[in-house]
Amino acid sequence: MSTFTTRSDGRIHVHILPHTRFRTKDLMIRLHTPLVRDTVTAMSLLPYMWMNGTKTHPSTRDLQIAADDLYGSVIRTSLGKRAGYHVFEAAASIPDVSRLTADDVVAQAADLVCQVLLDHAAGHGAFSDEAVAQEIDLHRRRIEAARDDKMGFALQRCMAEVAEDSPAALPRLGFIDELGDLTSDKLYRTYESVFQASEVHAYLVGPFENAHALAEKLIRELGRVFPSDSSRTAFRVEPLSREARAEFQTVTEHQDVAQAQLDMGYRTGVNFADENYPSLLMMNGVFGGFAHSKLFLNVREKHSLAYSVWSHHDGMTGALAVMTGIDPKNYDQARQIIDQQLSAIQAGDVSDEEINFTFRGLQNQYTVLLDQPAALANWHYNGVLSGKERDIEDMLKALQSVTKEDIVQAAQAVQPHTIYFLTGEGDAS
Amino acid sequence: MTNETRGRRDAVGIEIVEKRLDNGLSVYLAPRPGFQQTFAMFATKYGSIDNEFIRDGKRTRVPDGIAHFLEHKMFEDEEQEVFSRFAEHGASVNAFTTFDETAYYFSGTSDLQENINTLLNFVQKIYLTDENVDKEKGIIAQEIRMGDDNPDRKVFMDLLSAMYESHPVRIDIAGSVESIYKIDRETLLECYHTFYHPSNMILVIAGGFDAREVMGWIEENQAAKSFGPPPTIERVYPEEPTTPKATHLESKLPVASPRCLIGWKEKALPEENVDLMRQELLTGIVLDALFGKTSEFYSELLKEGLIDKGFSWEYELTSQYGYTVVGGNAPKPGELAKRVETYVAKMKDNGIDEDAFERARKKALGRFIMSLDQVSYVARSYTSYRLRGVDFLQTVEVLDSLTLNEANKRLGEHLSKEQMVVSTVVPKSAS
Repeated sequence: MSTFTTRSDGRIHVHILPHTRFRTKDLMIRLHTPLVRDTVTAMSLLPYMWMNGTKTHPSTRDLQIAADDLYGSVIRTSLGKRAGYHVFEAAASIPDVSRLTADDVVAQAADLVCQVLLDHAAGHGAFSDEAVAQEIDLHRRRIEAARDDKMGFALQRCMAEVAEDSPAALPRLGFIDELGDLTSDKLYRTYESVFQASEVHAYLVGPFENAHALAEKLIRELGRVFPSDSSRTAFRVEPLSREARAEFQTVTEHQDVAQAQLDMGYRTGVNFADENYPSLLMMNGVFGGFAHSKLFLNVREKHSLAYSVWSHHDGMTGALAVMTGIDPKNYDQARQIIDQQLSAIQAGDVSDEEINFTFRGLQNQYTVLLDQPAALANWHYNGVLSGKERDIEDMLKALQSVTKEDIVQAAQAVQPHTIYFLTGEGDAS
Repeated sequence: MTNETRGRRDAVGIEIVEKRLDNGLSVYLAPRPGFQQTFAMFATKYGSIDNEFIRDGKRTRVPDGIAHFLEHKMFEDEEQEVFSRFAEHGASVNAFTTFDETAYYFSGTSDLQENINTLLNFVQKIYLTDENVDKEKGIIAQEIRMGDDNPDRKVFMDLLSAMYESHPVRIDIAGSVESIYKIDRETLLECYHTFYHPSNMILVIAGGFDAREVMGWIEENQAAKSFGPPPTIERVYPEEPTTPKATHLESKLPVASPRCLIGWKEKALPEENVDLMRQELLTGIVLDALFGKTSEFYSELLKEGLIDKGFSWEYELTSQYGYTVVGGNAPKPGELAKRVETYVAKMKDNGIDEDAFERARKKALGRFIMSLDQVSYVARSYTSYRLRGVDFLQTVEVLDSLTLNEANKRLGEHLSKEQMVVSTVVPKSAS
């Protein structure tokens, strides 16, 4: 069920996963391109621009009307970041309304997605001066508003520190002070450069009547703007190196907040492609990935220091982060307890029960993916980006064979990097 | 066992097997062949608004936030951590409290019988000590603090507190740091024994299982337990005026982006359950036609920089309270509110365009169909509708029957100037 078949032409790849169990058909076209300091801001605007109109549907409203007329098909673009790459997406989620209408809703929605991605020209839709001015203003507000989500903001700041001096440290949304320099011409040139620079992966997941014919059509359409280039090598993600620090650096920032955010960032050197990835996932599960994990039991349940406390491993950069919201006066105690939990694992304090619960928890998370076809595409894409495609069944077998020694070893390889502390204006520390 | 119906199919092909057990518990099973996951939800009709009640003749007023506090405490157990018990069987468990519901749920892909038993058992047993009640206060205080830093939550709660004069829907679901420190073991126990009787609860399970087998497990689990007779509960809600308490409320927070919500307090609270879904879907279509991304108004506001792409609408309706909310990030909140007011007045005169109405209806239908692919969504929606006496699977039927005339009538009666309230959160530095 989780096996994709792929049709490729040059750097365009279409991955197909047909199934008939669900009523949603997902079409996603993803482009990834390396993050570069000089172009990160202009690049980050593009997916938002695309929804401002195309030659065929010259305004956002025209586009939305076309989408809503297709029984509320969700046509969307998004901007992602995976380690040192920007990931652009144009996508559609299409309800299966074959019982309600004879119209070819899928073909129309696919056309719409292709238009959103490809059908622009200077002066039309997305790249009119007016639309560009509007989007620059919105983007400024978007960057500013990201500061209002304290938890997300703190994590992003922590991860940027952990990725210091690498492209992965660049902000997904770019830099606010560079927005003023952007013009419609400049953006349009940036847009064209995406066609030269990106690797393209499209996904067709769901009860498509003829997925292979649609795949061929996509390859033809995309091939017109993404010229084949046999000399280029695939863009693959590397984890952050493990050299680094013997001890944490501490970065403290102040905002007027009611709750302080304490984030601790580590490097592991292990990402999705690494043979130790399953061990690290198990280690993260014992440490702080679940409600049965050491962090939850000790920071929250035993000492009542936090409502929320988790650890998260980034499968692309290999960075690991602990996130928690605390009363600032409990900083030392919380930090000490978090340190102790990691040290405990490193010293071999891992019970059979913790291993078993963590395996069962991960097994559940991965098995659930089989009911969420769009999420399966994400899983597959992680494999594409990191250069190692993993099958879910194989992954489960690998997780099951992880031993206590593997977990301890994975924990011992975790290296401290940055403590990021966001606290109130008047608080010390 | 009584009231079993089997094989009822709605327009989109989901079967619901339902049964009311001898102890009063209502069970709804939605088998979805081919799904790996099972999502089970055990919910009580008890939320943050139930802060005053008469049980078997005795009247009690409890501290704000107690339903949510109780939700936290249900996870406490003498023997094994509840989280661990689910973890052992590969499931993840969680819970939430709303204004009118407390729900416990797990999602799992194996050991279904054990997980269902664990869900039923931990919610149907309470273990409280003075110590474990006190311990929870620190955790919940941090949860409340987390909310204090969230401007979207602040602007929303301000809106409700401006709209409602005395109805407890105006109070934050978690209560306040002060109110939770007034909560003690005895009061928690009283609330538990009042609202967690099976006759006040429902169990909804959706996913890849055999309904007959699962119903058998549930019956077996319930038959082994004894519950007293259901308490007579009278929920006491204060007299609430039809019109809003205030027209404006402004708060200052250290935010980068101002927020503005414009709301209308519902005066037409449904008498019959079947009216509830009809009114809810109809109002949704009116709001989508007026404020959705396909409306000219949305494009204008965006072009003028008065909103961003997060601008959205929401409608909530129960037999106790109801409200429409429109808004989001807004650099000039005052101007946005004025524009919305003028626009609504104009739309009431002109009426909703027929194409816009049909498009919104078609969209609602497609979105409903897609939502059925998520068993968690099906179980959640089915539960909250059912607790309000409505069958979620009637959505298609009701959507099909709505008319443009009704929509225009709804627009006229609901979005009236005297029911309108504006809530803003502005940056602390702004005057």
